[in-house]
Amino acid sequence: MIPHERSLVERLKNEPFALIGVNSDTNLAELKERSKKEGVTWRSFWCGEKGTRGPIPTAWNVHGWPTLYFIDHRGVIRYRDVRDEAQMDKVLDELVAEAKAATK
Amino acid sequence: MRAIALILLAAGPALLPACRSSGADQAAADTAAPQPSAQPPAPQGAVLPAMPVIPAKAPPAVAAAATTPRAERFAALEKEHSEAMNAYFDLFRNAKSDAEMEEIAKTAKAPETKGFAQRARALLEEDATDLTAFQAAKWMLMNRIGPQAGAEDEPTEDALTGVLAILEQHHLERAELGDIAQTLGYEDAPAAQALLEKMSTKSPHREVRGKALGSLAQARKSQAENVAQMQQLGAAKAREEYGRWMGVGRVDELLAKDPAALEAETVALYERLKAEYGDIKTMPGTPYESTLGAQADSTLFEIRNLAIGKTAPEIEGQDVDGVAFKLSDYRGKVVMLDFWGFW
Repeated sequence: MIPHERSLVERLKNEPFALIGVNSDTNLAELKERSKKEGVTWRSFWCGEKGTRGPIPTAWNVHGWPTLYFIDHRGVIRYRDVRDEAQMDKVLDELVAEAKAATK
Repeated sequence: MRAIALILLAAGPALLPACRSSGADQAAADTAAPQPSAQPPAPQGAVLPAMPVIPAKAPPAVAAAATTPRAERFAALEKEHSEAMNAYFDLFRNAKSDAEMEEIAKTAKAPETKGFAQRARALLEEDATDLTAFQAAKWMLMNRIGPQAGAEDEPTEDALTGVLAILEQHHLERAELGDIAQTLGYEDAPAAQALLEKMSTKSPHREVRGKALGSLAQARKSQAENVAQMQQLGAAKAREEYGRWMGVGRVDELLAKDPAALEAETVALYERLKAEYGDIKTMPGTPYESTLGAQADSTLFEIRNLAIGKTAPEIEGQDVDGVAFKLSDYRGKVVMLDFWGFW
């Protein structure tokens, strides 16, 4: 997942796109160190000491990781849990094209 | 945990359908190690990597005070099976990279379940009524010695129906029946749903009735989601992707259903769960302790606010550097929101 996410962030760096994480690791120091090592440059909400049971995963009723939401430029949820890489690229390209068309 | 493996940590009733085949939802509560089995397709037609869902490391099975020869036989079966599964999953847990993990997925052989299944069935055939029989039937359900997986030594749908019939006929009044409600909820088989219906109305124990109702609600929710996805995929693709694990006949049956009506039924079931059984605790004494009411609330929130087509609810929080930010800061951009962890 992370290698593909790295390449997504690189490929779409000049597009109206953001990868936002909601991270449920409980050890913040370790999380930062591994993020640096594995090139996780994108921003994540951190769920604090409660990790998977923190307020954000609880509010979003998340019980499996990773859980993915694809939100368009208007803030509307358009897809969920597209985990296949090719499929993910397709969905994001479609949404990015819509976002760009909206600003023209 | 490597990012490639889908993992499940919590044990709420609203497990994603994409994850339902693992039985790993029980890992925190139950010592039975689930076995990898065929994955149902993920939502939106995504294809999951061919990787077993690796459960949290289960503590070794603690043999209950085995007081009868039958109880001893069951305890031995459970212990040996759990050790074999743990040894297999350890290969993945000890992998040092995603590449190594993929290699293990290709080469490592999952433990044979046939022998274990035969021993459990022998116990049921000798006497289907005692506590050991209940435990053996529960073990078969929890370990998916059921209809889904495609391996040759997996028993057929009939075997599951047989186990369910034994539970209904001889164990409907047991207080321990609540332990299997969640697992039954993940079975699409009509017989599993029928047993849950009976448990929710006929059990003398309020807790069993409540848990059964919760599982019926959860099953209806995943059915509504599956039907919506199938219709979105179109009949041909739905038969191909879902047919593998539920049979093409069942896919056609589901395709004919109305997802909006199923969603309305789901909401009604969760409302009833909250009103009638909201105070009942689930997984008490574990970090996952919750109540049926809290689970109903979260699920109702998800149905009403997190479905495709809804505006994403605001998230306010802090990033890993302690800087506050909001999801809506990114309005105008496409956002891929990823709930993740290195673990």
